[in-house]
Amino acid sequence: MTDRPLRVAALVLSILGIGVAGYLTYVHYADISPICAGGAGGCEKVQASDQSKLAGIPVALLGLLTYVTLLVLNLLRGELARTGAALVAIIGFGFSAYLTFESITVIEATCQWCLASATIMTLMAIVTVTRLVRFDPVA
Amino acid sequence: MASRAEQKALARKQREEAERQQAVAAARKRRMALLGGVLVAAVAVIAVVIVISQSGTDEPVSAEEGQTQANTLFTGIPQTGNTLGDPDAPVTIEEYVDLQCPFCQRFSQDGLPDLVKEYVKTGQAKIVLRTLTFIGPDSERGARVAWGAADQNLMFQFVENFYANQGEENTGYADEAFLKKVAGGVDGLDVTKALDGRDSAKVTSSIQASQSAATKANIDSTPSFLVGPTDGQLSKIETRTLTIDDFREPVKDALAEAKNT
Repeated sequence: MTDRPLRVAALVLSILGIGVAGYLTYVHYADISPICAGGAGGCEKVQASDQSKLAGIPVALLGLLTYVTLLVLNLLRGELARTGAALVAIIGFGFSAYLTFESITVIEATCQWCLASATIMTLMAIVTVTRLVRFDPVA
Repeated sequence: MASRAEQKALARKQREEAERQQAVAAARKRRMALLGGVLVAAVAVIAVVIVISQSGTDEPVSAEEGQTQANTLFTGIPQTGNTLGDPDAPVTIEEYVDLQCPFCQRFSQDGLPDLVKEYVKTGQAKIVLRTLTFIGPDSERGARVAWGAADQNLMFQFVENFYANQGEENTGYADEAFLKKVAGGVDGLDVTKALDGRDSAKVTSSIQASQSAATKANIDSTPSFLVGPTDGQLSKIETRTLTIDDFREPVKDALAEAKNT
């Protein structure tokens, strides 16, 4: 197996992540309700929570910037880019896991868009770490 | 028998294979070291991000500020038992709370003051408070004293002061000393009477009635609100911001409905 399928998977995940985080960023700045199956109550409660911002910056915007960074790093070739992608993806995965935990235990509401982003980031961490440990350009 | 040249070629091949395997092993070791470094760096960044996230959350008002709010917000407003406002107000807002619930505390800071000023003080709406105790024993201990305070028509003040002093859920913080402190902070409340009354059949019945009303209205989280014309059909409202914005449309509709009946 070559690196190519995993690189393509990482690029697809980056684009999906940009879509989800981009939508949530748009919803935040347009001050409208996100479209959620089964009513927007959960999404709005999560969006209005204290955890929806980090140091005053909307988490949705941080997510968007993270996915854009991952897209660029996955487009670039070389070990440095793959290491950077794995680092960013693991950080994204850890923060997503924390936010999901907070969403369930503290906010007591879940947002499908946030769960979708957490799933994408989990897959991204798996793909980027696999790329880092399995493929060595000098081998 | 292999010639000398063939033996030499074989030895070279074996040496090259050994070197190749060494290179692969070294590369694997290097990649694992790289992954280890990445993981350590990621854990450090995640820890910092979580600390920033938690320190960035809105700090609740201090206990002193909360106590002041509890004792001033409802001044001049009629209060009977668990009802705040004019009993004949055209609109009824039923509020379901758990005293341990942090979002109930948040609503008391971000939404209740405006709601009281805009709709209750003006006689347009009354608020009926119902206590749920699903989070844990501290919820029930608090709710019982709240109903004890309701007997003295000071339930809303007690609940506000409880929020101002709210602790970590289910840590057993709502002990005797805590409840005395919260009750003692409510101006005009007979603390002994409120604490003595908490185990009465009336208080137990009020807590059970709140739970029954919540079950009937399909309420499974707090805070939840029902809004509608007084003596008419109350409907559960969506709480998006936990501010007065959540109430404007439902109260407007309920006022219109009350006018037409």
